[in-house]
Amino acid sequence: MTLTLPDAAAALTTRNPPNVDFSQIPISTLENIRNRLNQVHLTLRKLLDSVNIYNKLPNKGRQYMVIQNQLQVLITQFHSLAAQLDSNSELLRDTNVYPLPAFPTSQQEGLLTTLLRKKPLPEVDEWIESALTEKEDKSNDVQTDDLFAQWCMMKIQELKDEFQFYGFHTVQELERMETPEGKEELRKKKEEELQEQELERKISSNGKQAMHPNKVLKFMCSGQL
Amino acid sequence: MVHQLLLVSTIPHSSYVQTISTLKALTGQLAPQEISLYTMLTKPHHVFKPKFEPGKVNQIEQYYMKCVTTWEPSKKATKMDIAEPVFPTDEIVVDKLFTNGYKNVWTLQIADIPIAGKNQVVSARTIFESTLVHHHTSVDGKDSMLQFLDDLGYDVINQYWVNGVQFFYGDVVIEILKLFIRDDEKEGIKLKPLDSSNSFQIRCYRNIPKSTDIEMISQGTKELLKLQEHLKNLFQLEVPDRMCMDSRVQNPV
Repeated sequence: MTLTLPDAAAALTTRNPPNVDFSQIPISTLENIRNRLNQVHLTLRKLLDSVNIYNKLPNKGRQYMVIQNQLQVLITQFHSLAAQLDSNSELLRDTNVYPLPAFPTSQQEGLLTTLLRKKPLPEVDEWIESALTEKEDKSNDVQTDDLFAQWCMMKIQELKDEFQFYGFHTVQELERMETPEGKEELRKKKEEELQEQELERKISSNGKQAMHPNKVLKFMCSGQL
Repeated sequence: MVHQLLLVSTIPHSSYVQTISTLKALTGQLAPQEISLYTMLTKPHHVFKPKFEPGKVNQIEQYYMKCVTTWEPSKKATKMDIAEPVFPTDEIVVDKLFTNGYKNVWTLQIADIPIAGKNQVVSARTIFESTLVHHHTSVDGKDSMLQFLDDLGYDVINQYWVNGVQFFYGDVVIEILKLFIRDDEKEGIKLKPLDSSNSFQIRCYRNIPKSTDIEMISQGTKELLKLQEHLKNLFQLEVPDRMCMDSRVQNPV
């Protein structure tokens, strides 16, 4: 189909443009994708830095928040990148790339092979694979987790329905209160309370209020109440 | 001369233990300091009425003077514990303070009326003090200290005993105390509490050496307010009424 050049190679070739037709190259699309990739790259590096800092100083409280924020940004960027790639998928799939004759093939062999590479690197393949399998396992976990949570909620509701809450005593306590010993205990408790109140009353000379500090101060200053 | 910032409050007897524990925790002072003070209130016996002259300071006041010293419950009586309530049947007996050859350190104190103003957050007043070491002897059947006061131009008009504990919170002094007045004369001097409700009086104050040291005063005020805020659930510290702290002698016109 049409010929397209990655921009690095393009820079090398523009010095000597041998009547090349650029009009069919989807420059704007490619540029867009390149920008997005750049952003992702930057964010990934930042995230890596934060993770490193966090590992060194795990007690720096807010670091966790920073990492989460950056991850959020990264996810958004991945989203827009994926959308961009998706909308241009046809174009990207059908485009063949090859260098122009002016490209210094022998000197820049490494660069050229990198630029022309269409398949992912073996290690990239590996982690894509592992990520996919992991995702399957995890999604199972999430589902079982959700189910378990639902079951727990249901059980709690069931247990709650078996009880009725009135007052501040348990059934055992209420039953004990009904027995003669329980009644005796209750009576004693009340008596104790009364005694305490009585003592309190005696201490404060029949529940007298405290003399107001102002009155006391007046006495202290002028000897009169 | 000291400038005293003061807040006061009161607690019933039943809150004593809780208050003491809280203050121990707040101040980190495990053993509060005990205070037992005896105060004689005196009043000048001559009316001082300078001739009114325009252009001169005409607002000249006479003040009550306090003579303060320490006291101890009589050795015969059981040791006094302010954590215990005092009942009308209880006997608190103090020894006579003025006995021949007894040496007392007296603090003579005249306090100005607290500063006026609507938005006073703490009571602030100036206190003038002087210390006097006195060996009590008998002069014509009268105690030498009373003779001295007489010569100074003051009559003893009342007396009270203070017993309580003291805490120190930074530069703020927190006092929890009871006042006792004389009951009647028997052997020794029998006392009864001024306030029969067995409540405690609380005084929180900070003394500042100079009344002109505005910075210290505002800092001290802040400290007291902080304390007030800290303790608001335990007892409410208040600004005392200024007129109740008026120790000027009201001379008949």
